[in-house]
Amino acid sequence: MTTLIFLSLLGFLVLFIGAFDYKKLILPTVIIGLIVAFFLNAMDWELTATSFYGMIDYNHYAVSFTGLMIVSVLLLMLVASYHFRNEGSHIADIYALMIFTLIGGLLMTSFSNLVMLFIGIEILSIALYILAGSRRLNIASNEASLKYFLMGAFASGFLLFGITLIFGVTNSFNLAEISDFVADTEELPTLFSTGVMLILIGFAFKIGAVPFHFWTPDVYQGAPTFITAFMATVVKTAGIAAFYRLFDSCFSGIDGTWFKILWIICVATILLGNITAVMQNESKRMLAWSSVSHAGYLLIPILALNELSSSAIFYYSAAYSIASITAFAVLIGLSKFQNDLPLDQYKGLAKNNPIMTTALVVSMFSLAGIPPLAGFFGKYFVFLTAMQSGLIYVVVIAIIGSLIGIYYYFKPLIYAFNNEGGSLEKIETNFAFNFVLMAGIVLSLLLGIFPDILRNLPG
Amino acid sequence: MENITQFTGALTINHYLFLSSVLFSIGVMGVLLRRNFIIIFMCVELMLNAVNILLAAFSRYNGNQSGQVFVFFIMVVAAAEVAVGLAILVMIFRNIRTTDINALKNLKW
Repeated sequence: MTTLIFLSLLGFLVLFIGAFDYKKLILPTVIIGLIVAFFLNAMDWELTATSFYGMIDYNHYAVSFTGLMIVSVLLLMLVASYHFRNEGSHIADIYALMIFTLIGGLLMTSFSNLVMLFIGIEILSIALYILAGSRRLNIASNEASLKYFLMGAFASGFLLFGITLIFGVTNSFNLAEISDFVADTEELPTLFSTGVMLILIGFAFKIGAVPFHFWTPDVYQGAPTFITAFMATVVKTAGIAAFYRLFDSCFSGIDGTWFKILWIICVATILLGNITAVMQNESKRMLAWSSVSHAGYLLIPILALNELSSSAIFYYSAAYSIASITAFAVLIGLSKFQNDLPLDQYKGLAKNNPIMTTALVVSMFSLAGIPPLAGFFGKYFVFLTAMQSGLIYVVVIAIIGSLIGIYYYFKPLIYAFNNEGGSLEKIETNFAFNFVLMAGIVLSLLLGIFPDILRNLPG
Repeated sequence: MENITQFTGALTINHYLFLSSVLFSIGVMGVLLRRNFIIIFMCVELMLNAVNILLAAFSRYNGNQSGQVFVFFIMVVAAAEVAVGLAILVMIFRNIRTTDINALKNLKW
């Protein structure tokens, strides 16, 4: 709970440091601030009461997801410091906006009132619209920003309409009261299921699930690479966490149409994401489609909704975030500022850049789900959850999807070890960048070998 | 004035539901069909305001003020969104000199 206040103050502090042009202070402030926020968050572990007049319920689930998001943002900030090493004009604004986005994500994981869910989503989204367009003079970045803005506002409309219908039926925005209403009512009115459906559509837009995924590849390709990494990890984690929290606490008792629709969305997301990723020749687009498919895997525990779901979602998001951040960091190292990053630019990477190559191999193996890396156990726990609820067809389709996935995750590796036509020169890196790569490698291995460290946290 | 009060008293919640659904649908169709940024933008606002009408109506119907408070939250968020959205529009207009969304075709599949 103090984390929320502390992070808001940190955001403003960073803005002021930027305004008064103390360039050297920005990065240390952000990093120390985020580390302090991480520990403040960990101190709330024992806190179980609701805070802010019942608007926020800071339970173990919220604390674990907040911790994960803070770590992801910290790693991304280090990558950003490498990305912006030569130009420093707007760096403080970008850091501050990233912190504000994190606050939105924090609200999305800990809300216990639908008002807070909406406010959280909007805080997260509005900051992101600006971040996606942070390269003002680049048309692709502008276009990404506009598309993300229109789609985001459109999705918010659906979400709000759903929230309103649910308010009309249950006469409350509070999650506990809504779930009481659901438990007490024999036959729920049509308005209620319409509301659930509209909320489902709103969330599907936000996390980029098929058939509401069409903005994802465009936005991911156009936005600056580290913002893409940010959207693919922190934002997706927050979206899925909010999705699960809402459906687990309110709508788990009602069976019916939303389950069938989510089933179709989930299967379609896995298949379409993986199949389209195979056809991509551009690295950022490939990673974007792969993130669409990962959203599909993350939907499986929400579909299953049993006692294993929350830990499966948490572990999968952690594994996926770490692997994605590493993969995007390698991409940032390779590229300067261009938007078109064809897959063959990995060509000959292996010879002179050992750390980057190892990071690439580990992250791609983890995303593909090859043991003993974290991604494998993420998929394993997700499938286990699904099996417990008897969703055998979903598991079969998801396994087919991940088999397709192995093919396109290996493409960059094949290029990296291909030395025909000369190998790449050594890429100049700095400490922060190498630290992120090492952290990505170590965490992916550690989580894969000892999955129980994180698995039981949200409980 | 008295006629108006009598008339509004005869309106049931279903009327409001119908009105706001229609407004919301007009907004959705506008976003999907129109090709001008600013019109799309207005349609998004129409969607949000349809929700506002419904929230206020439900709030009155249920005798629960929290719905009306939520309307203010939505207005604040919509204003923030407008600020950012217009800034994005200006930024794009400076670069491509048009408000036609079909001009943005750099990123495709």
